[in-house]
Amino acid sequence: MSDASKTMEDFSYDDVTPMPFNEPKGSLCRIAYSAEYTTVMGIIRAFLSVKEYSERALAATAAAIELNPAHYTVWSYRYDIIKNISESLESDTKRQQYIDEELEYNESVAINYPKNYQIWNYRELLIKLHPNPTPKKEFPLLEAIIIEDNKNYHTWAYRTWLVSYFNLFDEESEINFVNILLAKDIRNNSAWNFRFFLKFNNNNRKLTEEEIEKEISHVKNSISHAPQNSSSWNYLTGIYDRTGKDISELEEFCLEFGSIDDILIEDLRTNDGEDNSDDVEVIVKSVYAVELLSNIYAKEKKAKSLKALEILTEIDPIRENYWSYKRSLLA
Amino acid sequence: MGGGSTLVPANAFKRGGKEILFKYRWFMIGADINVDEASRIKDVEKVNFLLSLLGRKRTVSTRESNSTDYQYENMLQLVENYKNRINFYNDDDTNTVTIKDQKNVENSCHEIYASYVNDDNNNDFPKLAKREHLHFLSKSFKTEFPGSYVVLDSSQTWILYWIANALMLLGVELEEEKEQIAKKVLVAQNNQYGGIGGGEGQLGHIASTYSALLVFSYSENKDFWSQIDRKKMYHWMMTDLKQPNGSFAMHKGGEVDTRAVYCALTVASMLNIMTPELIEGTAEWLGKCQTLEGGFGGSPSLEAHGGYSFCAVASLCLLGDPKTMLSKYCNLPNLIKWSVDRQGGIEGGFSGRSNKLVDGCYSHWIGGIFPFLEAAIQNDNNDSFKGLFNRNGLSNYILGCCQDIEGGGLFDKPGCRPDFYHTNYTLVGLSHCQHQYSFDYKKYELLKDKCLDAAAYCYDVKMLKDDSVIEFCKENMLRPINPVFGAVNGYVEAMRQFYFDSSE
Repeated sequence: MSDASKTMEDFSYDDVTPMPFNEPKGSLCRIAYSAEYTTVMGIIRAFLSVKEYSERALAATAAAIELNPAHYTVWSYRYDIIKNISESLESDTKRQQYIDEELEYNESVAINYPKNYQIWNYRELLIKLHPNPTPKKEFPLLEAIIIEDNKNYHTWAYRTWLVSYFNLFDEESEINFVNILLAKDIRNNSAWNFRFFLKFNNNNRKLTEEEIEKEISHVKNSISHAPQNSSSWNYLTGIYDRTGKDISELEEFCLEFGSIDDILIEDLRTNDGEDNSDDVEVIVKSVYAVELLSNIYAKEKKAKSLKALEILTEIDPIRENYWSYKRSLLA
Repeated sequence: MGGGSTLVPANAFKRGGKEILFKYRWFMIGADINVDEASRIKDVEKVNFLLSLLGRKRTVSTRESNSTDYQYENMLQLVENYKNRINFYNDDDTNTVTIKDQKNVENSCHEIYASYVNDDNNNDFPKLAKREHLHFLSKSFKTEFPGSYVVLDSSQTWILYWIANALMLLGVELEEEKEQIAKKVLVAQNNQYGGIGGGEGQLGHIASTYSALLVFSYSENKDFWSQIDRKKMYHWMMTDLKQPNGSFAMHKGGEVDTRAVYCALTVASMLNIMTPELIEGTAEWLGKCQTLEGGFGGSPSLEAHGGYSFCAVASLCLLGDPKTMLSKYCNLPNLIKWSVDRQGGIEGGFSGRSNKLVDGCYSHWIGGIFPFLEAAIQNDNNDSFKGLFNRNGLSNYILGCCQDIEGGGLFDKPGCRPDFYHTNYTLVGLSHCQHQYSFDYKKYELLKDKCLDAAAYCYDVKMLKDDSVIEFCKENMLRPINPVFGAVNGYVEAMRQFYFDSSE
């Protein structure tokens, strides 16, 4: 049986000749390896060359990962060892126990290095190897990391994979998780993206018209709370894009955040650096609303669309070139 | 934000512990480490040599009197934007951590810009501190890294690329390093299974291979070039990396994402080993990675992200002309919108995702998308090029907020310490600001039936001299790059020609 607590000290390596590094001193960007790292890597490379899949090799990979968790060759070798040994075990129960222990080991590394590329891919491989995987066991780890670092890309990617792999789209746990995170930070774009994935990327089930409307009113409500939140506006237009709905339905809603007919461009212009933000605030509550209006009007009400773009040039001048490009499309 | 990271003592790792000793924030390799003060060995001779090549004597120059000073105008605009911004963030229950972090960064950038704009002493505007950056880069190139750098052991070809590429952008011609670069790359080649690894004795990894081949092209040595085992490389890519759905894995059993696709396509192109089988289904798979927001995620359903978006867009534009590819396989208007939205109105720099902070490295990951977008919408009758993003704004962010003026090197955002990764990608970004790329559709028509990657070699580049687009300043000028590869223009092309000729 594997025991994650077993270290290199528990095994003998007397018969192994560590493979030396041949890179000459003075070569570019050379790293001065510690004696410990040189030995451990030398042993691993010697094992690799003869494809030794053993518990002592496993202990050596753990020692290497402790020194350098980003070493993909070591992770890859470790996986080969686990796969080999687990396949040699006589029952599924033993295999399960063996891989569970490995998942635990991986978890301890993940908690320390949550942004490492290898760890999550490795976990995915283990789950695929597991005779009886339980996705729910993954949640505490994911939650611990995401609550600490709510936009951690790798962790979200792993959760997305889990949901797809085990078809968890409609699980209460998933939407609840999103809701908790968005309640904490309405601008957590990773959570919005995950919500979109749950609702609209389920190949096995399409949302009913009623459910789509519910989702639209949910995001509209969120926009009302924080009108200048790009995440929720993108979510709203994302729904319209995905379902092929007509964005002109949104005209009235957008006008609540910027009544473009009533705005005088001169009022938006800066007067010798005077602070006029209070005045502007009253008439424009969201750049995204005005932008969406310019798109809504682009087909049939070009004058209004141009006016919206003119306003955007004033209130969002960093994107001046983009607004001017959009104007050129109307011509 | 946070400052620099601490170096990791070999025994600091605690299993199951909570302590996170250093932050990972480097797209592509997922690691981050800063230069140890103790390792800063001064290589004065080398720096003087490099400086003489550049013909530079002084660090900072005075503002040119004949200059219209659009840099100033733009900075003034950023400062005005800050004063006049609509107070979007006043609602108490939505005043979340995203907003707090955002305000902090906006304030620190604003403080910097305001200090220049409101300066009564007429202090010099920030220029590119070439001398200091050269010093930072060249000393790291030749100095042995301390043992704590072991976390970058599997990213050695990346370090090589970041440093060499940044030096090349700054105008340095490599000398004796060329041979050393080539040898380092060949040491990392995996002769058993194919591909190039992060260092000696490591498995082939497509990102290591990509970065290795970019610098390998800088070695300009056909004897070394001929030592790459292209047959084994192709076999490795087809058997260990290519996935049935058209995508690629980083290494055997490794992560599958748009990074891997980008690296695989650029590698196949550089070595002239691209076949219809290798790229089957790839463009379609990339298209599936575009998200509701318009950018691309690492794989289907994942959040739009600057690094993954660059990889996806550059990949599509390696496989065909930008107009066709970006319309056929993705929603171009959404991609443009998402890309321009990345630029901060107060900061001028780019963020990598919605509601995330600006970071100097996105000057390339996002900035590098624009050559393709601008080429996709290019109108050959229209002479007055403005581009799609605010070049003066990005340039102000890089020069004003990302430079270590004293020690050299560039970084993520104010308060951070420099590293090679950020130094390279901010400089590539500055080069994007200074140049305009257009696609030669006529040339492409002639070439497209001859090779599958013709589009990668059809970009024309022009130095921008219109101050209203980007203030022209000779001292800040960097060399142009090939927008598909992210390497200084001309070298990858020459290496590919060599492999092309040897395939005949």
